[in-house]
This record gives sequence, structure tokens and C-alpha cells, in this order.
Amino acid sequence: MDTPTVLTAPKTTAIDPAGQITHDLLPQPFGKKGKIWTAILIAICLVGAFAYYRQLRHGLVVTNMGDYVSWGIYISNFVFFVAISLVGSLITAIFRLGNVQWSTPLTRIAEIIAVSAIVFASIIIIVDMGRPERLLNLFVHGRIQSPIMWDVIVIGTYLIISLLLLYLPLLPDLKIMNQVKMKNPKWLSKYYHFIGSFWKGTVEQIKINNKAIHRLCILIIPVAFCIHTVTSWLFATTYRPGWDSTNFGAYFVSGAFLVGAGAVVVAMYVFRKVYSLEKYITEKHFDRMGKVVVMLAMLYLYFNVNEYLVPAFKMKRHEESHLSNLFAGEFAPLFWFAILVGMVIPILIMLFRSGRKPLPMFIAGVMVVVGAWFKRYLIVTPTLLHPMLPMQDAPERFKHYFPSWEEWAIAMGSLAGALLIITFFVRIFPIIPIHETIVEKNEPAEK
Amino acid sequence: MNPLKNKFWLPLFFFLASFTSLTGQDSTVHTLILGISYYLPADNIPYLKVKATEKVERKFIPQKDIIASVYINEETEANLLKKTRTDEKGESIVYLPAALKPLWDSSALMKFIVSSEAAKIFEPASSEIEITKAKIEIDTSTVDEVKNITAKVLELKDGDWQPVNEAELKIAVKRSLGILPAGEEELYTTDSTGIAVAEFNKDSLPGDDKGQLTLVAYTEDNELYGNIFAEMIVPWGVAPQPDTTFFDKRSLWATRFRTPYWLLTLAYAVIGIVWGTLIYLFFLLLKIRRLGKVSV
Repeated sequence: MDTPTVLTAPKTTAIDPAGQITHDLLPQPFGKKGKIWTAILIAICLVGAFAYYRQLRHGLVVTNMGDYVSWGIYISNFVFFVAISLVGSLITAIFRLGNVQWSTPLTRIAEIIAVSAIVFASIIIIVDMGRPERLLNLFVHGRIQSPIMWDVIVIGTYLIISLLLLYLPLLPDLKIMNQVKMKNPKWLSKYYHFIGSFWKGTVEQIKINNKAIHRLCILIIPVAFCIHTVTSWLFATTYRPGWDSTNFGAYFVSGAFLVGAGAVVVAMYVFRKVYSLEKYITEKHFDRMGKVVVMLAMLYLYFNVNEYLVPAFKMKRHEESHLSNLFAGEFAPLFWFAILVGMVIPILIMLFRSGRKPLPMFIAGVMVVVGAWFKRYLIVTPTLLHPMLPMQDAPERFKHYFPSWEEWAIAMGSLAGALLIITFFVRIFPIIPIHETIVEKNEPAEK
Repeated sequence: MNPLKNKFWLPLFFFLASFTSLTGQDSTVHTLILGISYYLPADNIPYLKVKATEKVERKFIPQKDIIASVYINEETEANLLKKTRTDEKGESIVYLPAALKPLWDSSALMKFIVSSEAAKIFEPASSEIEITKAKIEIDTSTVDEVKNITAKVLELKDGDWQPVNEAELKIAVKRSLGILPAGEEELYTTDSTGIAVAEFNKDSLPGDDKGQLTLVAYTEDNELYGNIFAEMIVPWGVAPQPDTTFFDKRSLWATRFRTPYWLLTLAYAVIGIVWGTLIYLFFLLLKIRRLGKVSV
């Protein structure tokens, strides 16, 4: 049997940089704050689960969705999750292929955000179905002509690719974790052994692994573009005010990159603060991510100008009530909040060097994510309230929508669930790649 | 005095002045227009429709949440039909309770009163109508291939149904989203026998799946009789023939067994390439695993 090499990191801090890095980056048990955070997330998830139980028992009647707004907060949440998941391809794949080395500490953060988001995107779409068992009908009676079928295929594929892209770069770290003695429960040690004991770090293994990661990085980019383009087509292939656009795919993809990058910035700040990772996630990372976010926010703002200004200039009859409602009507506060808080203010903050420091970046990142969530709500709901063919004598309640407590609880439960996946992942695995960091630190010396 | 302060006094004054004038406007009493109409639909279950509006700049604006009391014959507690609340269209429907059937049967002439107390910004309002019980009988006949619709208006007088002379009514065909005049005229007037005849001139009118049309004869806001309806189903329409010629064609809107070849090819090629690569990657993972075990 392989004798584990015990890296006694704390004793070797002064002379062994690898040991120090390992010690700094190994996953740590939850402290008091970590336990409280996890308990809060579990509590929110449980409330969401109870609300879903009520929905299963009584049907979709517990929601405030109706004949007009048949896609409410659930689908807004779904689009948000799909959007945020796109960051996996940006940070991991695009930066990796572009040989952007400063992104190394961010790759795993981006990938776990992508995986947790795509898992809950899949769950929330099932929640939106009054009869979840009918999901099976998609596979039994599915039509390849339907964008919904494309979405199911592409989401499943993206989830598999994201999991692989999370797992393969983790293998060298698993070797380290199997070697280092950590105060872990037995099951966790067994788990590490089960998923990574075969990794010996031989030349051949490294070569194959690098090859596989490279292929995955190439593969994930078109699939990531597809996942969000297809999601946009769920809207754009229907003839409705606000959705009837040829621009929707690019508009959605640019928005997805922005929210994903914003989420990474928030996660960077939190992990840096909680696990004292200042040496690894430096101000340089925030500065560079700030520039990336500014660029993405400007791009998304540009698409927004296209999406709203051109129809507003023409003001076709059917678009008129929808746009007036957004610009100056019932949804105006939310609309301007999403534009200003989700794009304009973060741009103004991060445009300047002092705004690209960790704390202002964190605040701007939170603004981007919150603004993006409301933006998805604005894409889905106001359009449904303005059908091209209004019903005769539609009751007044059809013309307004505000989610019921069950909808809020489920939506918040799903957001908490995604955060819970990230939280547990950080507890079990190193959030910054240990092996890659060691290799990169050693590279100048080798050169 | 500080000049800066002076600069702000003026806008503040205007703000307060406009605010006062706004609140002053709200405190004025508005006039509510309360109306009541009588309906006897084809199913013979009569009801009353209360409508609350306010006239603002030549427009009648519906008023919702107006509480109105509807009475039969006289405004007493015993004759109260219902206390009702108007909806967002300013309307409310009141059916006659079964308990008042003896009172309903006692006379051919009925009076309905609607009243509201002072509420919100409105002063009290009331309105009343007097209705003579009436009905319409509808029938059809075909003479020399000309289809005629005969509507007979009858009123209850001295316990008998007697024909009504010179009653105005409409004879039409019921459509999904409205009413289509059945003949040349918009409005018909009964003769001394209470009969009005419309010549049906709508050939090739799409009907239901059996080609049936629903004819309707009705009075509209008649001062004496209110709104009374009669209906009859006739096989005078054309059954729609769904276009099935494209059923066997491959298209984006066809069944899953009729997917266009180009889409099938494209979709399966993309799925094949992506999943083929994924399977290859799984194979690489297995290879890494095997190498690890071999090196042990």
C-alpha cells in the first residue's frame, strides 16, 4: 500500500513554500460563524422545501401565477441561475486557453459557482412544473423542434462538462489531501481516497489530464454559449413585446458573463476574508477582475441600449404599453434599479483604480448580482402582462403579478441551496488549486 | 436674514401651495352615477346589473369597490335583494334570491332600486327602474330557399302573455367575440302581432364543428322590458374543415415523427460531436485511473 507522505506544513513554513501553501489552502472545518452561516442556509432551504411540499400537495394554485403570467419568479430564477453558471466557461476555459495565469486562484471558485448554479437551474425548472413527474414526457414524447427540448439537452450536457472541469483539475489536489494528515471524519478521508487515490502524479497521468482539461476547455465554450442562447430562444421564439428580438442570444450571453463575473468577485472577497487568503487572492486579482467586470458591464449596457432604445424609438403599438410600464409605469423603480445598480454604478465604481480595491469591488459585485436577479425578473414578468392577444374580459388579477410566499420561499430556498453547495464544497475541497499554485510559485525558480 | 434661506423659501412655498391645492381637490365631494339594468338571458334566470361611474371630462370612469344596496319594489330592509360591491369595471351582478319568488310572481310590473351611502369621496346616490315582465320567442322558417328568423315579443298583462307592438329588438348571430347582425338591418320593430322578421343573409358563415349557428334576438336597454334574450341553434353555418394537407409534411410545427431532415441532421450532429468528445474524455479519465492502479 502507498505510504502517505505526511506534510507537516506548520513546521516547515519558513523553509518549505509548498508546505506553507498546502497549509494555507487546505479546507478547514467550519468555525462558529461558518456553522451559523450553514444553519441559516439550511433553514432557508427547509422553508423552501416546505413551500414546495405545499405546492405539490395543492398544486400551482398556491402560486400567484395565472393565465397571463404563467412564468413568474421561478423562471426568472432559472434564467438567473443559467446566467451565473456561464462564469465557469469564462474564468476557467477562456482564461485558461488564453494562458491568463493570474486567474489560477479563481478557476475553482468559478467552477463551483457554475456547478451549483446549473444544478439549481435544473431543479427550479422542475419546480415550475405543476406535475414534476411529467418531466418524463419530455423524454418519451419530446420533439427536437422545441427549444425546451434543446434547453434540457444543453443543460444536462453543460452540467456534465462543468463537473468534469471541476473534477479533473482537482485530482492533483486530492493526492495532496490524501497524503496530508487532516483532522477529518473517517468518511471524508474514505471519500478523498475513493475519488482521488488513483492519482499518482506520474508523467503519463499529468499528460493525459492536461490533454483532457484542454479538450474540456475547448468544448465548454460553445456549450456555454449554447446554454444561454437556447435559454434566450425560449423567449425570443415566441411573438411577444419585449421578447420579439433577434438580438436576444447575444444580449443574454453578455448579461450572463457579467453576473457570473460579479458573483466571482463577491466569492473572491468572502473566501479571502473568511479563510485569510490575502496572499493568494491579492489586490492584483481584484484590480484585474474589476477591469473584466467593467468591460462586461459596458458590453451588457450596450446590449440593453439596443434592446430598449430601438423598440422605444419605433414605439409599435404592442410594445408601447410594455415599454411605458418599464420606463415610467409599474415596473419603473425595478427597471431603473436594475440598470443603475446592476450596471451603471458598478461601472462608475470599478472604472477607477481606487474602486478596484477589494471592498469597493465586493460592493460593486453584490450590486451586479442583485441587479442581475431583478433584471431577469423584468425580462420575464412585464412581457407576460402584455400579451399580443389580450383575453376578453380577463379578470383584473391576471393583469398584476406579485409572487406568493410559497414562490418567494422556493426561490430563496433555491438560492440558499446553491450557496449551500458552495459552502460544503469549500469545507471539503480547497477553493484555490493547491497543486497549480505550488507549480506557479516554483515556475520562476525553474526558469 | 440669510439669503440662502430666502432661496429655498420660494420653492417650498410653491410646493406647500400645490400640495394644499391637491389635498383640497381630494376633499371635494364627487357625484357618483349609479345605474341599474334588468337582464333576462336565454336561460331564463333573471339578474340585475349595477353600474357605478363618475363623469370626468366627458368620460364615464368606472368606480370600483362601491357598496350598493339593491331593493325590489321599495327601499325597505324586507325587500333588500343584496348588498353588493362593484368590481374594477364598476359593475356588479345581483341575482334574484329564490326566497323572493312569491313577490316576483305577484305582479307583472317590478321596480328595482339601487342606492349607495356616502363613501370615500362620493355623496349618496340612488337610481331605480320599472320593468314589465316580457319574453322573446324565436323561430325560423324557409320560404323559396330564403331563410327567415322570426322573433316575437310578448309582455305579461293581466296574467297572459300578449304581443307587443312596436318593440325594437336586434336579431343576430352569436359569434365567439361578439354579435353579428343576421340580416340587412341593425334594428327591427315588431308589428301588431308582436312579430319581427329578419331575412338571414349570411351564407357560408363558419359555425361550430357540426356547422351550427346560434341565433339570438334581444332587446337592448328597453325602457319597459330591459334586456331580454332568446336563442336558437340552427344548422345554417358551415362546419370548418381543418387543413390537413400539411399533416404529412416535415416542418418545425409538425409532430416529433415529422421533424425536418435538416434539423435532425444538425441536432444529432451537434449532440454526437459534443457527447462523442465527452465519452472520449471519460475514456481518458478511466485511462488515468488505470495508470494510477498500474503504478501501484
